[in-house]
Amino acid sequence: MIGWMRHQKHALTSALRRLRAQPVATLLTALAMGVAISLPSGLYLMLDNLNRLAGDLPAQPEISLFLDAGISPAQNQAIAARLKQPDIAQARHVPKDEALAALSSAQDLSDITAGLTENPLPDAWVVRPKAHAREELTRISESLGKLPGVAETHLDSQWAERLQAALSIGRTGVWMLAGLFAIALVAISGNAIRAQVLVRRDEIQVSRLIGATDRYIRRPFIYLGALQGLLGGLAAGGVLALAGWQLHTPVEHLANLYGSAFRLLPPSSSEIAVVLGLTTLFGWLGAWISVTRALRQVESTR
Amino acid sequence: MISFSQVTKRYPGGHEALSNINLTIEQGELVFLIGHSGAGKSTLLKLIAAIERPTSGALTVSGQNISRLSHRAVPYLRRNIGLVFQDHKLLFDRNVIENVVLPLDIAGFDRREALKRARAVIDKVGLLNREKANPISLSGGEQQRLCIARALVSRPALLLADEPTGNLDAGYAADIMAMFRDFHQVGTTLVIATHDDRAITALGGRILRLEHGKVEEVTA
Repeated sequence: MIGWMRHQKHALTSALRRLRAQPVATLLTALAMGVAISLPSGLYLMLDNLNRLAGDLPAQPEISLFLDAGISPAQNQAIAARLKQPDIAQARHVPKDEALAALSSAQDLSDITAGLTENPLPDAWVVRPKAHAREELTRISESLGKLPGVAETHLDSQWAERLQAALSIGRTGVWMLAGLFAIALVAISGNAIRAQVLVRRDEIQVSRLIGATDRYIRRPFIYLGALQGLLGGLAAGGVLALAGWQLHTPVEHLANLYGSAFRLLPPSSSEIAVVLGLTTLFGWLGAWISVTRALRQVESTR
Repeated sequence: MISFSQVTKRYPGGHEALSNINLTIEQGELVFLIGHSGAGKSTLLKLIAAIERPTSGALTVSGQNISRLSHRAVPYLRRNIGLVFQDHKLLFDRNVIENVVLPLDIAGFDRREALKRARAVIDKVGLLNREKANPISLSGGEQQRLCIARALVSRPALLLADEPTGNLDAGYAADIMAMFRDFHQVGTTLVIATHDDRAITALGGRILRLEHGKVEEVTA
C-alpha cells in the first residue's frame, strides 16, 4: 500500500516535470483541447441563459376560465377561493361586460358587437399559475376545469411550449456536440501521449529490462494525459471567460433597450467542476488507450 | 540457481542460436561464457533474464520455469537479476544518481533509503564525485561502471553481463573484472559473456565455450 502510494506520487511528479519541460507543446495541446471543449460548453451556457431569459419574460402562460351562464353565487365564491391557493400567482376576474367592451375596442369589432342584442360572452377569470412546466400547467388547468360552475378552461401555453421545444432541440444538440468533442478530446490526448511514448522509448525498454511492470511504465503517461485534460478544461474556461467578458456589455445594452434587467450569468461552480472532471477523465482515457497500444508496439519491436 | 535442460532457441527465420543445451549453474558460481560473436552467448543470457523465451526444453531460474512464466511475472523475476550491457543502456535525460536509483524506484523503495543505497553503490564503483553528472559526460569505462552500479543497487542474487569489457581498453577492463571478482567473493552468482581472454585467466572461475549453438566445459 505504501509502495503503491509512493508509485502514484512518483508518477505524478514525473508527469508534472514532463509538462513543465515542454511548455510550448503543453500549451498547444491544452489550447487545442480548450477550443474543442469550449464549443459544447459555450453552447450549453448560451442555452442556460436563454432558458433563464424565457422564464423572465412577461409572456407567462395563462389559463382562461370561462364560467357557466347560470352560475350560482356560492359556486362563484368557491372558484374565487380556489384561485387564492398558493399554486396561483395571480387571478383576475373579467366580467362579460368588460370582456365585450375590450373586444369591441381592441379588435375594432364595434360594428358587429353593436348589432348584438345581448352579450354572448361568459364571465371569465384570467389565471396566471406559478408553475411554468407544461405538465404542471396542464394539471392545474384540468383541475380548475372540474370546478362546479366552470364551463371551459383554455390553457394558453403555446408560446411556452414552442420555446421549450426549441430549447430541447438545443439541448440535444449540446449533448451531441459534447459527445463528438469528447471523442476529439480522447484523440488529442491519445496523440500527444503517443508522441511522448515514442520519445521515451529507450527509457521504457531499459525500465522493462530492470523489472518495471507495465503498470509502472504506463502510470506517468496516464497522469500526463489526465493533467493535460485538466489543463484543456482550464483553457476552455479561459476561452469562455473571455467570450463572456466580451459579450457582457452588449447583452446588457440590448436588455436595457428592452427594459429588461437580464444579465449573462457565468456557470456555477459545480458546472465548472463537472467540465474539469470530464476533461480530466477523457484525457486519462485517451492516454490509457494510446499508451497501452504503444507499449504493445515497443514490445514487438524489441 | 540456473538449469537448462535440452533447451533450444530458434529465431523466426530459422536461425538456431542454441541447440539442445544442458547446463546447470549453482548459486555463488562465477561463470564465463566464451565463443566468437554469433555463437549464442547473448541468446543464453537473454533466455536467463526472460528477454527471450526458449523454443523448446525446460529452463529454470531461481526456481521459476522461464518457458511457462507469465508476462506479468517477468518484472518480478528481473528484479532479482542485475543486467550489465555492452552498450550500457544508460538514460541520458537524468544524472548519474538518478540512473542508479531507477531500479529502486521501480521496486517501490522509499526515496531517501533508495538514494542512500544508490550513493553507497556509486561509491563502490568509484563514481561518487560524478554523482550529479550527466552520464553522457562520462568516459566509456565510467559509463560501464555506472551500468554495473545500476545492476547491483537492488542487491540481486544473480548478475548477468554481456561483453562488459567489450568496448574498453585493457586498464579499464581489468578494473571492471576486479570489481566482478569482489562481487563473486560476497556470494553473488555471476554469468559473464566475454571474448576477452585477459580477464578470464586473471579471475579463474568456470569457463563455458559456446560454438554453433552447443555448449562445452573448458578446463583451463
